[in-house]
Amino acid sequence: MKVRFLAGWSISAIQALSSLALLANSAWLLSRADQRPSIMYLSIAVVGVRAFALGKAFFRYSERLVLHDATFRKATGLRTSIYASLINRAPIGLSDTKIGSLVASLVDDTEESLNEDLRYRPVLIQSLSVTIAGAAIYVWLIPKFAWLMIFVMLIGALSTFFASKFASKNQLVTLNSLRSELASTAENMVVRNRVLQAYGWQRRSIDELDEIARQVTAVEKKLANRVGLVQSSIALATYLTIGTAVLVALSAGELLPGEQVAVLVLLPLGIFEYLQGLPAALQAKAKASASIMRLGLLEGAKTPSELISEGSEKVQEFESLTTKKASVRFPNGKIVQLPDLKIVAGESVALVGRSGSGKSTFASVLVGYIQPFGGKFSLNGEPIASYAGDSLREIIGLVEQQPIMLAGTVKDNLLLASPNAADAELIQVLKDVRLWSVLEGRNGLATEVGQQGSKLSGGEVQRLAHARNLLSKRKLVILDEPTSSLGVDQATEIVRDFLSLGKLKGFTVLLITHDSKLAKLTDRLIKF
Amino acid sequence: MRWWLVLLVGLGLFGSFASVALALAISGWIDAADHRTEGEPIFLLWFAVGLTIKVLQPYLQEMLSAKVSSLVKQDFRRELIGADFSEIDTSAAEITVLATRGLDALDAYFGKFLPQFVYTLVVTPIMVVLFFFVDPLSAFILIFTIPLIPLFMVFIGQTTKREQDRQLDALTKLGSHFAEVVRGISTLKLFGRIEHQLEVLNEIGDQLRKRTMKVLRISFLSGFALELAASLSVALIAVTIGFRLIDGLISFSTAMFLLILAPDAYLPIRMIGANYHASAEGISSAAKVLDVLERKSEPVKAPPLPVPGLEIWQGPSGIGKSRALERLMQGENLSLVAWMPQPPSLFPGSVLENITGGESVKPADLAWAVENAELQDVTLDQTLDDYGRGLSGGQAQRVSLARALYRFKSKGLNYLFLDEPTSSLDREVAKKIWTRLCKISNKNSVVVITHQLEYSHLANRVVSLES
Repeated sequence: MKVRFLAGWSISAIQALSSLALLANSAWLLSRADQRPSIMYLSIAVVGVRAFALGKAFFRYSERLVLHDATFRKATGLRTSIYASLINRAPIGLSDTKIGSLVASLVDDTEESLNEDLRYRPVLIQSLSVTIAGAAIYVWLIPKFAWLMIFVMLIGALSTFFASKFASKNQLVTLNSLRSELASTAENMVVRNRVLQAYGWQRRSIDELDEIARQVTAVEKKLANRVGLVQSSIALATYLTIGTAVLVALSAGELLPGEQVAVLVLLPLGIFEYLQGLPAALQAKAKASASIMRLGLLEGAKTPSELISEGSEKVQEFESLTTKKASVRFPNGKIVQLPDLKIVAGESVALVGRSGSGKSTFASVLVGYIQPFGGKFSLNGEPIASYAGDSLREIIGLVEQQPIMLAGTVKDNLLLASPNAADAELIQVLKDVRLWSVLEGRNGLATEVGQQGSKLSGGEVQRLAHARNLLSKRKLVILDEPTSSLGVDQATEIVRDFLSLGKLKGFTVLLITHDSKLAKLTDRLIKF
Repeated sequence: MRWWLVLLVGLGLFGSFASVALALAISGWIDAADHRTEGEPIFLLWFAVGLTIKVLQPYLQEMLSAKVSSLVKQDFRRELIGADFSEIDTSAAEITVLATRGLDALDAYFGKFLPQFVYTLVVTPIMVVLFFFVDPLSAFILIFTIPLIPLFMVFIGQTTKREQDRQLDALTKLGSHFAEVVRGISTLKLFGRIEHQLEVLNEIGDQLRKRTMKVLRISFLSGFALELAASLSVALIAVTIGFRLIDGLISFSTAMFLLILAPDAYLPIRMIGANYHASAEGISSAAKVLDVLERKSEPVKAPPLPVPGLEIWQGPSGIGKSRALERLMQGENLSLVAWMPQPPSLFPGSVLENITGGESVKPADLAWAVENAELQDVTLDQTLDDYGRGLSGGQAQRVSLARALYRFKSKGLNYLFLDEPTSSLDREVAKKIWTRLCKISNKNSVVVITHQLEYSHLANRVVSLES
């Protein structure tokens, strides 16, 4: 990885040097031509001009290819390692992070963070190499005045660098956060556009939007102000250096052979052409640093101890579940009491309580997302904390409040549960959950589920989620609030189907709901 | 032409004038030093004028560009957000992207590309004429080589376009995979498929890289060709000047002047190439913005509203009941109806602000709305997050109901339209709300869309929508 970047950066240095050489060579050619040199010198110079011109373009092309390739490689590694760092914390440790911003981090921030390698380093290396090469040429041509030229050039280069650095500071972070505020306000307004109209609240919201936009404009103006100042100071530095070179050339008199004057005076033009890239490069670096910071927070965040299961035992079978005065402590310190209950294999039980009473948390403990904090919570007579989380999830299934479907086909989504299942097996479970007759009329197993399951109805998504759990042969399946994405009547029908499948195939069902009518479908009802 | 465009182009011309002045001064000085003479004092004037303009111009240009783009963006944004999208099939996400990122793309277009384009059209012929007076041969070289640059651009642009389009689909698909695996992280974990996802991510990243590099290899080629054309053209001028110097056909100071100025003659048109990507994005987003604005629906005539009583609308999901209800609110009717949409559609801010819209509160009407929406268990100054979340599904539904009831009462309206008001509520609470709706419907028209058949007996009229 590093090698590719080093290669890319070296090419960019060579590219800058050939550009400088092109300029020096042309200047030398002209001055020398005035004195009627031998034809050999001239031919060499002419070939040199062409070669350097070609080299500049060629090296620029290879530099961009090599660096982009290296960057994409690094991005892939970075994304994977960040995703890996999320696994242990998901889903409870991520609940206060918006999915949208996680995705944005994975996609945008990884890309942005690499701009340091792609857009900042090469420019810095080029600036450094042309400045050093320029200084060397001065020392070679006019040792006596070289120190003056180098001094002036260095001041120009350094002031450009620091002015650019100043221009890129802080404001970008402010600008980005304002821009995302603008985006989310705008999104809120567009999504709820109809409500705003119906309630006559549109005027106020537009004012609110304008206010944020005004702030954005103010920051943008400040930034433009700084960028403009930097560009002005670069122009000033360029021509002051040239002016100094002219003074040196005019006063050097006999010390300086005529043909070298042109080289001396024109060099700063070539050098500052590269320094002009610094403001943009430093801005890219500032953005990259902000992204690196956000990624670091994401990747480096420690998984809260509450979410780590220290158990290592494997569990093969579900026999019984007993809880007494159990509680859970969330990473933010909040403690939630869990219901007392006892469930044995083969029965179906409903856990009923008001929303927010800790029913879903109970499910999270069962699938090993979070560890119990106090009281008794035992599975098959052993404390649940003694089992490995992965192992728990192999026998206990959860149908989430809003079952998640990945974009792709029905088959893709089923194979999540059992990667090697044959089509016949898939069709069988779809028949079991009474979904096959519907899918048969469409594309069968190849029916697309759409983004977030949008091509299926709410009921079909629920049935497909049930099919997934059937296929994975879980011994205990938790249905978490089936009514939250379905109407009560539709949920009743689907849950009834699933409960009878449980009896038929011999797995245990735990239904979590706030609806007491739905709860009556199960063998037993536990109020909480 | 707009005033700002004239100003920006004028600034560019000033910059070019400064380049000429500086080239004159510098070549004069080099000539003087070469021949061991003092430079002419007029060079100092040229240098000073050139320097002053070169220092001021970029600053003024940046400030003006920023001003222009903010002006343009504000107008577009207001129109976009204020437009009525109910009858057009543009998704909210698409409009949001247009109103934010799309408008930022306009930035580059109006602030940078357009002025650069006009400036190039104006300055390039001036440069050619200038060269013609100084040295006709160099002017001819310019005339023949400058068109090569746009020619290359168009030629390479055409060959890359097909390849890019072909890859773009694949890229979007691969990109959205990340969103999928993050969203589905809990599901993948439940089925023990997460380790496998890491391999998939690596593989997809690799594919993404290979495909992107394929596109880049070609699109960087256009940069390569441009760079090469410009460099070789300048080299061509330098070499022809050099040979004429040997034969004494051209003076040294003229030769130097041409050499210094030659890159400036190619610079404007090269800058267009450099800004081409930004411009393409800007042009396409400008087109989209205008397109969306043009599709705004015409004002429609208000349909007749129902007579007082409780009217229940039933029918299978997906046949457009909600859409039909919204149609009833078109035109004048919008101000006569209190409407509760099916998704709660709450805003960031407090629950109270959500109910009253932040207007001055009428306490009696608020109390009435809270009571009739059974909202006693929700604290009114509780705040909702950026997405309007922070309440359970049932609570959010009742806040949305209270909002409609408050508007109904405080504005003294006679029409109440409710879209699935009790679908997420406990049966006992739902029953209470329906009883209250019956009472309200004694003197007013209440239309309710519902899937819950058990309340049909309360209705004065039941409408079954089939298709």
